[in-house]
Amino acid sequence: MRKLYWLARRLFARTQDQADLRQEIEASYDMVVAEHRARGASADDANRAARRELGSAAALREDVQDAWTGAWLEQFARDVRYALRGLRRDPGFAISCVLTFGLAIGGTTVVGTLASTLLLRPLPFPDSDRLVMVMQRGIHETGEGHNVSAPNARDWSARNRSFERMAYFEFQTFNISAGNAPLQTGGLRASHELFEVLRAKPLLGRTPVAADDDGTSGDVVVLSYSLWHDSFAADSTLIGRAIQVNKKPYTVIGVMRPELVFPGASQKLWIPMLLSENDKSRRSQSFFGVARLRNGVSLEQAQRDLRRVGSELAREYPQSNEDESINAFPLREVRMQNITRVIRLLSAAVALVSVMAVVNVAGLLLARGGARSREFGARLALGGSRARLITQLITESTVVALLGGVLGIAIAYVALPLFIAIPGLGLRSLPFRTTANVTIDVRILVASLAVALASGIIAGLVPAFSVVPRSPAALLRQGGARGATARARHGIRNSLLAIEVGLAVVVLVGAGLLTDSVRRATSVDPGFDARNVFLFSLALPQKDFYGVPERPLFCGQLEERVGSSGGVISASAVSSVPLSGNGAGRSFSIEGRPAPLPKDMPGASYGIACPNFFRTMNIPLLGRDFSPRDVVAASQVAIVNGAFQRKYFAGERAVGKRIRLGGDSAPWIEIIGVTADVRHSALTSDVEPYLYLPYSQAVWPYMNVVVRTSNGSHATLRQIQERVKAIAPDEPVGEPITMQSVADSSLGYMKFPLYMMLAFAAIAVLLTIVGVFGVASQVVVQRTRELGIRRALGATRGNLYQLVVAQTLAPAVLGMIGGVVVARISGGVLNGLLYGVTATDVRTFLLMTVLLGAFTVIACMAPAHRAASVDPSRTLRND
Amino acid sequence: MFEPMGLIQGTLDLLILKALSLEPNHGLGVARRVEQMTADTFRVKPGSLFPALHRLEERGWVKSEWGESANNRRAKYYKLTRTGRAQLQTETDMWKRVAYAITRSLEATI
Repeated sequence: MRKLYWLARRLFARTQDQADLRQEIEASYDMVVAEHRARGASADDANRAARRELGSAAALREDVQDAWTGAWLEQFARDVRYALRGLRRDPGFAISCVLTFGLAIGGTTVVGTLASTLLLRPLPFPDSDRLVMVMQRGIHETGEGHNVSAPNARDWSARNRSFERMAYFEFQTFNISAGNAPLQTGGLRASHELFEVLRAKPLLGRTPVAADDDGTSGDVVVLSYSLWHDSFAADSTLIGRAIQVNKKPYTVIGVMRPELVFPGASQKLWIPMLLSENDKSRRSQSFFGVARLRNGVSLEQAQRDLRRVGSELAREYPQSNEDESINAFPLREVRMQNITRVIRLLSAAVALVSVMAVVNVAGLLLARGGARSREFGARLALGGSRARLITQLITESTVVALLGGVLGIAIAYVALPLFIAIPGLGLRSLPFRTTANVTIDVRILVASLAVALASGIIAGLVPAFSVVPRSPAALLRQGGARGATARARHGIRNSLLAIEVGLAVVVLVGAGLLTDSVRRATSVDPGFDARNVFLFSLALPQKDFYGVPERPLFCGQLEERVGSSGGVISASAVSSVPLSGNGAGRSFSIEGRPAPLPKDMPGASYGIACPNFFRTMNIPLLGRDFSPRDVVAASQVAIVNGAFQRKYFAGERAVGKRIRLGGDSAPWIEIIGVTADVRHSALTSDVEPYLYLPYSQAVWPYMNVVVRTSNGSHATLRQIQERVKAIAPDEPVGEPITMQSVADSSLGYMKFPLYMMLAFAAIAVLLTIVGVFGVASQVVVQRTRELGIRRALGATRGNLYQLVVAQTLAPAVLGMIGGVVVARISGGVLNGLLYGVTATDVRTFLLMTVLLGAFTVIACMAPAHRAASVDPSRTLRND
Repeated sequence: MFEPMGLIQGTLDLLILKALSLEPNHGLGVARRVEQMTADTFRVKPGSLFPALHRLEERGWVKSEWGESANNRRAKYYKLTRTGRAQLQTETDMWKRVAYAITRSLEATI
């Protein structure tokens, strides 16, 4: 209580207390003087004696004030005011420091937020670390694995001893009608255990039970919060009512909470299993498993247990399950590879740039400190303490860093939503996570400010010790700018320069490797011509998914209505567009060849296309295209790609050969054409065998209308969209997407880190140039006299040039060597982000080092020129 | 001769309280009284004295007010408060115990 009173008094009644103190001390002086005068001393002698006894009045006052409650606060406030005054006097310095720190802290905040909310935070399910994804995986296969058939999934669920519960699900596209508007949305067909496994409670209504899976309770559907909110106006009376799903009434039994995302934001509804005839085959693999580990069971134990189940099934069903096994892995790792890599790389880059920022500010402070060391010497001589001066300098750099921190956080607030919106990064479609909660939270704010604080202290600490002379005498003896302190300062500057150059090399090498990767990836021939091609997604629901096409005339109608539209060169449709990364797989047998073991069955990805698809995409085709005559009643046909031909018909003509998808009762399909290799999954992955079937013989519930236009004008696109709508008036038609954007987003995960690294590299080069220029200038300033003498003794201009460049390049070269070593060691950070080059690519290392070397030399040129133009007669007279 | 700052902080405080226990005094007067009391063993530096007085005032052990000095000069006088007097008693007892213990231990032969 008393402490509080004094704190308040010392803070708020400070002026009065100070005046009081001043008087007290003056009175003491007067008293001593009076005493001496009384003893007969002269006025001068009395004054001297008083000063001898009491010391400096100012120092005394300061001592007392330091004893006051809250003294540190006052002192700190004084230092801050001093620092702010200093910064105002030197706005150039202030702005460059605050900006440097601001960029570094902004980057740290953004990357930290992404990492903590997307990678580190547990998934939004109770005890989410017990959740695993369960997939079928060949015993020779690496990677996550692949889809599983419904009977297998059910056997896994029944036979394992590791799971508390397991569910399985498949992706579907649904057409629903909300009010009058038809709407196409993704969703899942999932076994009723799904929500139990996730322990997800509904917001309204209930989640499915066993009775819903066998259809005894009729068709039911569970809606996501977003679908319910956006398309059904958050109507709470919806529970128990029916909505139209794929043209059939489904009773809404529940609405999930907003945070439930499973697996992605575009899966907005869930329907129970209701197994169809097709689901009973172990060959029909379209499902994924998800399970919750039993308490006390580790992931390794579960994997062992699943291998046992897998080998049991392989023995019992060799036809379908030979050489197949089961893989389980944490749910949180599903499809996080790319983003984890990118965030890891960005974290590394941000850390490098942050260190460069600290080094750079330390360098700037050092240069400024050099100019002020006379001031410090004078203050030391007048009785200031060294610790106080150092504290003051550190306060200064800390104030700058905190200002930078505030700027950085502001930058982060602006930049974060932009990051999230970058399509190539795919942050919006990460499984099980919503970007809604990717916000800068208090912990991140505190951490960012802590980083700023630490950066400020470190950046201030280094120069503070070398700038503040050990004693005033030392400074005076050394004659200011040229003594031992100055030499120490120069040593530190050289070290800082070396560090800066080293870090720049690391950043440049990273940027160089990514540039090369993207250059190689973009020069890959995708196998088609994306220019002026537009896509419109369109749902074409089938009541019986595996039956005969219910819209046999679709392709013809498309050709007729859209193909004849103004500005359209060619129009077609395909189930899965190139580079979109998805496609279903089928295994098949080849006519006239002995039936292989099931595990050796040939396989290929496949897609469904209308006639003219290859012409529309400018994909070269040998043989004939699909035609309207390829109806169900006619002979079945297929077109294959070059990889298919090479793998299964090496040295033969594929055209004319026949294959069969499925069992012995399936019809033979004749290969009628071979196309060029088209990259279907991604530009950077190899071309796999691919099979096209005509829409008129094999259906697919949603197609992409593909249109090559002459100009792609807005009017043309509107007209095309209208005409597509006219073909399927009840179905939603997507907005036009350019094929180019599909191709671009296919490289997004590589391009985005590249752009970031290029930005970082630019900053790094800039900081290096500034650093090198600073050191070289100092060399010249400090050695002007010596240079003059050398010149007078007959050194040529060239000699002096050389001297300065060599002096500056020495630390730079050391830094480069260090940087190359660090870059070589830390190349692993780029794993998975490179294409066609390795992280240790000698060419890139050389190129980048030489590039930085060139910048370094250029940065020395102006100071070296100044050195060479030194006029000996003038410099010798100076100083 | 000892530098007071070389001793524990409490010693100077104790001596100041003791010096003020006889009569209120101004800063310099306190210093002289301490020197006199300790027969010049302690020379109290102003740089230690004034901060100590202010510290004691913040603790509530002394109170200050402006008054007239012996030779008619304005000076700031410090006066022991009631809690200050109690504190002096406590610290004196403590000091005696400590001094006794230290003396004993220094004289011990084993």
